[in-house]
Amino acid sequence: MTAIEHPDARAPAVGDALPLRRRSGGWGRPLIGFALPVGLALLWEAAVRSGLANGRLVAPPSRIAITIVELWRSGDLPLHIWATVWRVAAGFGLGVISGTTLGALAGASVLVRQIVDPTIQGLRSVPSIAWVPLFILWLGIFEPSKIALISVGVFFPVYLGVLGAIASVDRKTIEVGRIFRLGRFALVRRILLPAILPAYALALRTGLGLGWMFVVAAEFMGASEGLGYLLVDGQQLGKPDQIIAAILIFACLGKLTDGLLVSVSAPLLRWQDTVAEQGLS
Amino acid sequence: MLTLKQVSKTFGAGQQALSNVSLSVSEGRILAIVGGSGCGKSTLLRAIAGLDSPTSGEALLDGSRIIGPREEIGLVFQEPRLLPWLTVRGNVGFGLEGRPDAERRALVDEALERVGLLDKAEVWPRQLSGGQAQRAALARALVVRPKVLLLDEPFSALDAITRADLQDHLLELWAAFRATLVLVTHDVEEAVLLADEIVVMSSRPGRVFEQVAVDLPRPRERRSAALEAVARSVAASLDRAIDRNAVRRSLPKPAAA
Repeated sequence: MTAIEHPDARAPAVGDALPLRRRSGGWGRPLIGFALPVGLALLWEAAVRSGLANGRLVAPPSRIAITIVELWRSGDLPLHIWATVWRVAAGFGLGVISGTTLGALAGASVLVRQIVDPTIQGLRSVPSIAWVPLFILWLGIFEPSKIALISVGVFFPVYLGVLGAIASVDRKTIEVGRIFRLGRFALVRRILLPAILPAYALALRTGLGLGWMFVVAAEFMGASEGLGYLLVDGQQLGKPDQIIAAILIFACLGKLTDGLLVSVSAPLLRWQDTVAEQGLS
Repeated sequence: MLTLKQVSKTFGAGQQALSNVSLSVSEGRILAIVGGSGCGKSTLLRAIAGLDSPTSGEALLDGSRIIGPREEIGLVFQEPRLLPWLTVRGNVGFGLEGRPDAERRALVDEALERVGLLDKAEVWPRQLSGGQAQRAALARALVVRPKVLLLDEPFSALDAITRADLQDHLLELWAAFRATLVLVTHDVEEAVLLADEIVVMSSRPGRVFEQVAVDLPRPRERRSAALEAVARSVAASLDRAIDRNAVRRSLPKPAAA
């Protein structure tokens, strides 16, 4: 730490530490993210309308919107979205629980790490799709095999994140706890947990991202509902509009659930001062 | 009374960091430990703090053996080591958990006031300057009213002006809290300015080379002739301890012109 004051150090008075982030960003920031996709969509719409492109393989936004509305009206779309979201949620939950537990055990005990880590690292390099036949044989073609596949995808980043976070907790920080005579449990609660929280939040986000990836693989292995089913169905029946609609919905759901994770963890991570928040200026 | 009896510390690879160090500090006095790098001064401090146990010998506080960290022994590290997820208030009150909220609040306020950081109580550590952070670390150690406060080169990472500031601050705090201070430093001037007693250590393995009493009245003035004189003799002792001449003798002789 240098003696040079952070530019923000003077401004906030008592109780003023909280609104830093909001003040620097304002409401304009989140909206700017819409400029690129909306702009591209408008350009494409204009290109198709003016006859520059025929829009047969990539439908213009208006037609995709109509597709989505029709799917929604027929009651199919809510069903598909629900099926997919439910699978991701279940797989994510299982993956997070198992990844956190094993990661914490391996992080806490050298012996456990030496026993389980090489195996887990080995399994990690197995391409995810390779599990599909095995899971189908073990668990059947219905929900359990799909959820198992998704939780495998979620498990690895969460396991690695927890293990890495525990391993990288500074010995110097632990010593502060020792000086204040914290017991084992208090050390975990007051030093270890808050110290690993940022890395853990990031691991959960990575895990969730992989969960969304794996749900498609899972639904490709034979589903009668779900957004992945819409993709397969769109391909087999030659409905590119439906495929693009499903992809868009995936994008929205992925971003939405990620945002949910971020906003749940944000109050706990207010203390962080990251480049992402302030920019490099 | 803080006493070390024949304290030795050998690390795993047979590397001896401390060899038969014995010394004592009476209550309310300031002891400075100076020495070159590798003289085991930090190891010594960690032994007193109860963070590492000596290989042989013992550290005693008022006759009872120190076998682990204790409430009456505080430690300020070279870096502030504030917990980044707690506000300054949370950090300073870290050692007060379990006390009633009102008492805790009052104690933290008082400590912050003493180190001049009351207006920074609710900010995050990252928003503090280096000097402010180290003052918060001082407050965190003092808020539990330790009998003994150990300081491991606490100001060495700061610029000269901030360092002088904090030295004065430390003396004020010492006058207010009347704790016994043990200060490790490599800055001879600092040692003479602050301490009642200076232990000069030699290196590899660390042992007590010489002990110098500083009989200057307080408040002491920086760069006064009396202070400079003591500093010169301590520096000379340190030179002998490190045996700079041996290093010099081992240099190749310049070729005759």
